[in-house]
Amino acid sequence: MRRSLALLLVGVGLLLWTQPVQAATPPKILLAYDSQNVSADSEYQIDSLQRLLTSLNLEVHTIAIDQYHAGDLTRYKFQGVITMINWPQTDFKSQTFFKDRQQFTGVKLHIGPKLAADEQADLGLSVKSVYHQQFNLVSDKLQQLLPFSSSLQVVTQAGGQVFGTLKAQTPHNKPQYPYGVINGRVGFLPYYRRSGLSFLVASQMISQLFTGKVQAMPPLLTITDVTPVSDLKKLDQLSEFLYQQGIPFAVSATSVQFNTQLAAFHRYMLVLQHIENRNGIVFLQTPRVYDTSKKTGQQLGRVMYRQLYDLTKNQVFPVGVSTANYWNQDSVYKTQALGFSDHVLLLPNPTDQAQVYAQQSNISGVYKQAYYALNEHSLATVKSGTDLTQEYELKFSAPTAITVALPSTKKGLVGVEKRLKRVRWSWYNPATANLQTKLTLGKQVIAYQSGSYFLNGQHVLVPTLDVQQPKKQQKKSYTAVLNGFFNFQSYVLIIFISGALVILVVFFFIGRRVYRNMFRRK
Amino acid sequence: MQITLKRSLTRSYDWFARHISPAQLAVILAAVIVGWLLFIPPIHGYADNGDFYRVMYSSGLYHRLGHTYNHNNFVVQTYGIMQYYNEHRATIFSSQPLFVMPAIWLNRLLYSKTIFDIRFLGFVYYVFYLGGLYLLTEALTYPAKRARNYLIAIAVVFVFADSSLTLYFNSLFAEPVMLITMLYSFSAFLLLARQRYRRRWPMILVFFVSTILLITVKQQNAPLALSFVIMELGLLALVKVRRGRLYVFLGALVLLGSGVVTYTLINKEFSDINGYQTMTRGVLLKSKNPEKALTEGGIDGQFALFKGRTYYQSYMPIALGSDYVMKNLIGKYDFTWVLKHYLQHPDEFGEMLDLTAKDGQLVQVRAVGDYVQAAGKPKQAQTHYFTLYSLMMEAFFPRKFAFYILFTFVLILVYAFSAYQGFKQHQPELIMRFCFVVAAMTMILGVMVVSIVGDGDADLAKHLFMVAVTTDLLVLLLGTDIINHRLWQVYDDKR
Repeated sequence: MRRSLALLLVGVGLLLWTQPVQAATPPKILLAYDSQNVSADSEYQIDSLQRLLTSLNLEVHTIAIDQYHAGDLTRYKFQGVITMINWPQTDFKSQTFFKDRQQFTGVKLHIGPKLAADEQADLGLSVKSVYHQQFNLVSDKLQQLLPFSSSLQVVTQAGGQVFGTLKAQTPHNKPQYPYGVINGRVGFLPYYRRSGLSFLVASQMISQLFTGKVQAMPPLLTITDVTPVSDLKKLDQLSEFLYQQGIPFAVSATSVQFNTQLAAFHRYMLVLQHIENRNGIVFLQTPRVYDTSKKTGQQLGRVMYRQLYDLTKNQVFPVGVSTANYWNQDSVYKTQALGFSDHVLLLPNPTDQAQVYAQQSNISGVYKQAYYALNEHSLATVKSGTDLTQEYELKFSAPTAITVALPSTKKGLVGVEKRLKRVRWSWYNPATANLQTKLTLGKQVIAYQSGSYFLNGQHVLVPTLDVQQPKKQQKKSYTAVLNGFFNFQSYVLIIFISGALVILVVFFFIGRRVYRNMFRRK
Repeated sequence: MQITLKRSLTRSYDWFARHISPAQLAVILAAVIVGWLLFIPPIHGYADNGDFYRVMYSSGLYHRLGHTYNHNNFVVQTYGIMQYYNEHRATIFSSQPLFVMPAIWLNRLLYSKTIFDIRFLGFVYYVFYLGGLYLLTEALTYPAKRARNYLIAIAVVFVFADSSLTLYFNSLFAEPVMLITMLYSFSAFLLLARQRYRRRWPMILVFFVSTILLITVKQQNAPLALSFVIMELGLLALVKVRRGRLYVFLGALVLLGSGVVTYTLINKEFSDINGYQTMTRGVLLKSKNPEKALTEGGIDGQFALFKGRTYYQSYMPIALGSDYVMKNLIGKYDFTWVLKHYLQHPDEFGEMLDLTAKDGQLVQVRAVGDYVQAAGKPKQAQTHYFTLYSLMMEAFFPRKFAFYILFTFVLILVYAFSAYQGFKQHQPELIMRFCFVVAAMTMILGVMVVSIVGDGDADLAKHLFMVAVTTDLLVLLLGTDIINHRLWQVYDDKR
């Protein structure tokens, strides 16, 4: 008896042991900034950094340094901390953050000026400030001229690993300083930019510091600004062009949850089907939200469900959700709009409209794969230096989506086609790279695996021929009983008054004759 | 016994008539009825439907910090008064601040320098309104001196002290200004026609000032300038010298000018919003084939997907303020495009106009609450205090556009006959009255067409406010003219 019990226990133990290991909780990183420094657009640097870290599968908690409470770093078990200085003039009310950071033993990164003495000691380097200079950033064979900087804290002496070099553009002696520096578990970046070569080098450095490795991934070409009211002809032409050129691509497309019975919606579905048949994948982009209330979560969940339902009904199977980064910093948006997908494409926060939160959490959601969206322009338009689009070997250290906005003019389309044709690097191909995505919608599971779509495990084919549009159903209008009465009353009154009008006119003429006859001499 | 009772009744009526005129009676009754509604806590009014900010910021008011601001659900009684430099320039061009500013001054003087109580605004409107009711009753009854004039006074109170109208006073909507100025404009005109006062200039001044205020208070009133010009030209019947005619024409130009100014100063954002809703809540709404309607007019048929949407709606696939929507939708059509579309599709136009006719007499704003939160009523609760007239009009006034047209023709016919008599007998009153009726009819039909072509069915009932007010005035005019036997001739004591 005892033996069999022991066997049973061993069996259960073995069973438990062989159970697939639950996805490990992602490492937590604290991103502490001094100020959003809106006048210098620094809030977009924070946005970029949040997305980059999320795409490296790190859970980013963002706070202003003044919001930090003593002991938070250890209390919440952070594995790394980033100090981002956007406005060196900031006065801090308390020093608790800096004290805690000094004690902190995890990974540390300092971005910007005001490198503290303890950080310098940890890094084993010395810094100095240089004023009114222009630098060239050089990394391997690549170089890029940076905008003029009024002041920059640069590294004069460094140990450890160096990423990129800053070469001053002075006429005489041309001093050189390292850009990114890693020494053990501590790193330093004199500045952070969300575009160009600076971003590429910084992302390598950050990837090395926090994940211990630098990946080299081809980027995913993504067409953005695709909406149901876009110029569908241009979208179809562009996707056909990419197909002909053998360029795999994705689209970040919004949809609607209303008027889906209209022919316009079916036209849109048809174009998206064509895209799926041309080795394109679809990310469903989240809708615009003007204002929020307590009901937002519920409404948004319904909207997303409705949109996905209508898309799948029309054989358009999104592989993931794309959204502006601030949605990923909001607990309601995360659960209601992003949570059901394991692949998320993080677009930069919009610059032309307000960021409306439902419940801002400043804790980024982490997914199986999150793509960092990088505008194609930010690589191509380099005034002086290497045109990055012309590099065969250009690789990205985080999952990156190079975005191109869908042009709305013929000229724009020709331009985009020309630029994409010139690109020399190879693109990420979801069909051959064994991309596996899963979207769970209630009881339905939409999966993508290496170019094939599966609905609840069943392989589905996207029709290659244009499907016939179903016949429109006439809506029955509901009329209340009283409405009938009021309608009836309206008609009766109209008829009555028309009759009265006629009689009035007749009487008018009769009366006139009578009146005139009174004066007529007989 | 019976004789003494009769005699004492007559005596007390005589005493009453000697001391209180019909106009005074109307003012006293209205003062009590409206005063209770507006000023006795818990006060009544209209809650913010989202439009208040237009006048709030430009007048230097703001939502009080730490106080919940209830859009739609409850009336907000107090606002903060900005203490420092007000950086908000006028969001819209409007004559409404001319009423709001005195209310704020009064508030500062008597109540608080930092907190504004909406009742001060209500009070300013209330005082002007009572004056307007006095002039209106006077205009409708003069020069008759008979008991039935007290009936007319009661009718005026019944119609115009209706809460659906007066609730507006405790709100930042522009409608009270429209209501008050319309009363003044009409009364001054009728008093001039009936030659109530020996000196004309005060009433002429009242007429012009109130009309200009009415036209300039809201952009949607700009087209009304045309109707008022028709009315104003009626003054030609009054003047006999050549120079007087010149002044009348000049006055017409001034009214037209105020309309043009109001129209051209429409804020771009608002005209974009209205333009968008004209399409989505108008052209596309009743269209059998919305894609075709768009492509025929040179617009991408995909925009048919926005059918039925309003501008400020969440969960849209694209930002409506974006350049793309601007360039490919809103910038592609204008007033004439829409008008052309409706003329090509008269059945859709008819349906839309019937939609306006349905809302024509709907005055009480149903979408917002009438109570403050402290009153303990549910959200968006509606008051029924003194609303019998508006409820009756709402329920029984025919809801067909065709009826409005018929109504127009009948009234014009009736008053045209009297105008004909006026020409023959040199009675300016009859001619001027006809001018008013024609102007009022163009106003009613014009407002209906303009609100469809200008903003679709969005906010329809509120856009049709002038339809209801003008109808009320016409009904009162017709009724009192019949009662005093002056429909087809000037008033004669013997009849």
